[in-house]
Amino acid sequence: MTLKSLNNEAIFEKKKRFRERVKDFFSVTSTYIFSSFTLIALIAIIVFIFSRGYSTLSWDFITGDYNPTTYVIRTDTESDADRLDNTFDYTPREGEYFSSLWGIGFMDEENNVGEKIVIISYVDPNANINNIVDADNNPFTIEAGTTVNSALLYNDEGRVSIRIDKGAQEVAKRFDECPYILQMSLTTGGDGIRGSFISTLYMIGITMVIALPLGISAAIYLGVYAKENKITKMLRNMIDMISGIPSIIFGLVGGIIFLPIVGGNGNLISGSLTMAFMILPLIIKTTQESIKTIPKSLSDASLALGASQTQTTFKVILPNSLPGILTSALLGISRVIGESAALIYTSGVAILDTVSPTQGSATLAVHIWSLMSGETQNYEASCAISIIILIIILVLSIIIKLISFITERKKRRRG
Amino acid sequence: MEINSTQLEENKEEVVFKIKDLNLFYSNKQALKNINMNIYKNKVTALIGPSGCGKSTFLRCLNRMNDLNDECKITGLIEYEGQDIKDMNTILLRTKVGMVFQQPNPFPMSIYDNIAYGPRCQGLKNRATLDEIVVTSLKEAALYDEVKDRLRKSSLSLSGGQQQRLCIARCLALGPDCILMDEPTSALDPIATSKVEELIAELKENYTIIIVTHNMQQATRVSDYTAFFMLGDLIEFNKTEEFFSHPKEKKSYDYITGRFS
Ligand SMILES: Nc1ncnc2c1ncn2[C@@H]1O[C@H](COP(=O)(O)OP(=O)(O)OP(=O)(O)O)[C@@H](O)[C@H]1O
Ligand SMILES: [Mg+2]
Repeated sequence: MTLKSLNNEAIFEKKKRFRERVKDFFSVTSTYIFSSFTLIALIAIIVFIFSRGYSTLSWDFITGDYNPTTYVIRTDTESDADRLDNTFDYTPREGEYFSSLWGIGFMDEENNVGEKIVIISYVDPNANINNIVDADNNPFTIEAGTTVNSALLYNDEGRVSIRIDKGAQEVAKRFDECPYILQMSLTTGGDGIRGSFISTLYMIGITMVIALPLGISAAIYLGVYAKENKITKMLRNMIDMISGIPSIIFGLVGGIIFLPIVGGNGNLISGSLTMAFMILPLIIKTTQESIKTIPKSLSDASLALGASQTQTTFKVILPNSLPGILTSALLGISRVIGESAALIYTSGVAILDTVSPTQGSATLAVHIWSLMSGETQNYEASCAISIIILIIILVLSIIIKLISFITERKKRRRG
Repeated sequence: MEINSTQLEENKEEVVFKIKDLNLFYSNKQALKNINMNIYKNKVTALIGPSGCGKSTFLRCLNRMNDLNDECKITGLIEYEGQDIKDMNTILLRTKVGMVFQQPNPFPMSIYDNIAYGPRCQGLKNRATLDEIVVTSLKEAALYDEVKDRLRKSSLSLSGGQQQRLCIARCLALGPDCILMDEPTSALDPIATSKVEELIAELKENYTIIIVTHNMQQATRVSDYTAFFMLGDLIEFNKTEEFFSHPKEKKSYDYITGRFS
C-alpha cells in the first residue's frame, strides 16, 4: 500500500465518521424534540384539566345529586314560639352581608353557567329556631350554601318583595327590616355526579358479565381447540379488524340492534351489550396472547398424565392465563369508563340521580358530553369528572403493570 | 432386522409393546420408516441415535401423543398388551403408559397437587387415598425424604433434579405399567443424573421403561435392550450388552465408536 492510498483512506474514514456523527446528531435531536413535545402535550393536558377541575372536585360533588332540590319555606305564623326579638352577633367575612335580625349571612356568587346568584353563606347556630316551616308545615333548617331564588317578606308596613338581582347586600338589608317570611324559595345541592358514577359502575359490571365469558371462551376455542385452517385464520383477522372500528359505529349498530329489544332510547343493558361487543376483540386477543405464552410442555404433561383436553384447559391453561385474563378485564374496564360515543345512542344522555339498569342514564364520560353539548358549557364540572376518570384509569394501568411485573418475575424464577 | 426379532422372540420375554411396520409422516416428510420391534416387560429399553433420527417421535407414538398433531400421519400397528392402541381409549392408554419429558415440567402448583393431578383427573377425590398415593409415589421416586416437610410448597422451588424426580413421581401416581422417558437427564447435572439413573434401576422391578438418551454410557448403565435409530430407520435392536460389544451393523459400530454423531 502506498502512502498516498493510505492517506486517501484516512480522509475517507474521516469523512465517513463525520457523516455518521451528523446523522447521529440529527437522529438524537429529533428524538429529543419529539419526545419533549409529547411530554409537554401530556403535561399541558393534565395541568389544564387539574387547574380547571380541581376547585369543583369534592366529596359532595362525587356523592351529590345532579338535580338540585328546591324548597319553599315560610314563617309559621300559627305558632307563637320564639319571635325574632334577639339579634345575632357575627363579624361577616369579606363579601358577606349579615342580617343580624335573622342570623344569616348572604354572599354574591356565580353559578357554573356564569349567572349571578345569591347564596346563604352563613347560618348562626341559633338562627334556626325561627319557626320556619316548609311547604308541608315541617320545621325546616336552613343550611349554608343554599341558593336563594326568591323571597317575599313581611313587616308592619306590608309585604316586601326582594330583588335577588340587586345582590347580597340588598337582600341582607331587606331581611333586617322584616321579621316574617311569607314565602321564600331555596335551592340546595345539584351538579353532583353520584348517579353517573353509579351508572358507570353498572355499565362496567354488566359489560364484564357479558364480555368476559364470551371473550374467554372464544380465546380458548381459538387458542386451544381450533385447528389451524382458513376459517380460523379469517376469524382471527376479523377480530383484529373489529378492534379498529370506531366506537361511534358500534354505537350506531348497537342502537339499531338493541334499542328495538329494550325499547325507548335504550338503557344501561343495551349500552352494556354494545360495550361488550366493542371490547370483545380486546379480551379475546389479550387472553389469547397469554394462552400462547403458556409453555406447551405444561399442557403436554397434563395430557400425558391422562387428563382430557377439557381438564387440561380448566386445570392448566386457564389458571396460568389468569394474569392475561385479568389484564384484559382491566383494559376493558378502562375502555368502558372512557367511552361516550357508543353510549350516546345506546344508553341515553339523561343524567339521573336514581339509576337502574333498566333505565337509560349517562355514565361519567357521557355526563361530560352532556355538560359540554348544551348552550352553555360547564368546563369546571367536566374537568372535575375528567380528573376522576383519569385517576381511575391511572390506577387501572398501575395494576396492569403490577400484574405483568409479577408474572414476568415468576416466569424468570421458573427459568 | 428380521433375524434379530426372531432371535429375540426365542427369549420368551413377555412383550408389552409390539410394533409392526410402523411408518410416520409429518405432512409429507417421513420421520419413521417401517419400524418393527418389541418392548419387553420389566426391562429398560434404550433408544439411541443421532439427533433428528426419530427417537422422540417413536416414543410419542407409544402413548399416542402424536395424535395431537394434525400433520402427523401414522400407518402400521402398535399393540399394547395384545391390543391395538388405535382402538384403545387414549386416556386409559396414557394412565397405563406414563411419560417423563426432557425438561422437568412440573405444574406451577404445590408438590402435593402436582402428584395428585393425575389421580384427580381420573375422578379420585378421597383425601386419605390421595395422601397415600402422594406419599408412596414420592417414596418410589426417592424424593420423599427431601420434600416431606414442604408438600404444600410450590413445586417450582425445587431444584432441577428434584423437579425431574417429581415429574417421575407424578407419573407413578397413576399406577402405570410402562414409563416413557425422553432424555430425562439431559437437563440435569451429573449428581442429579446418577440419582435418576439409580431410580430407573429400582423402578425396573415393577415397570417397563423406555428411555431416549444421547449418552451411550447411560444406555449401557441403565438399559437391558438398545434400539439404534438413524434417519427414521431402526438400524439395530438387541440386548444392550451384545449391541455395544458386538454390533451387527456397520452403522451401529460407527456410531458407537464415534465415527459420526
Ligand atoms: N411436530 C413436527 N412437525 C414436523 N416435523 C417434525 C415434528 N417433530 C419432529 N419432526 C421431524 O421429525 C424428525 C424426527 O424428530 P424427533 O424429534 O423424533 O428426533 P429425535 O431423534 O428425538 O432428535 P433429538 O435427539 O434431537 O431429540 C426430525 O427430522 C424432525 O425435524
Ligand atoms: Mg428428541
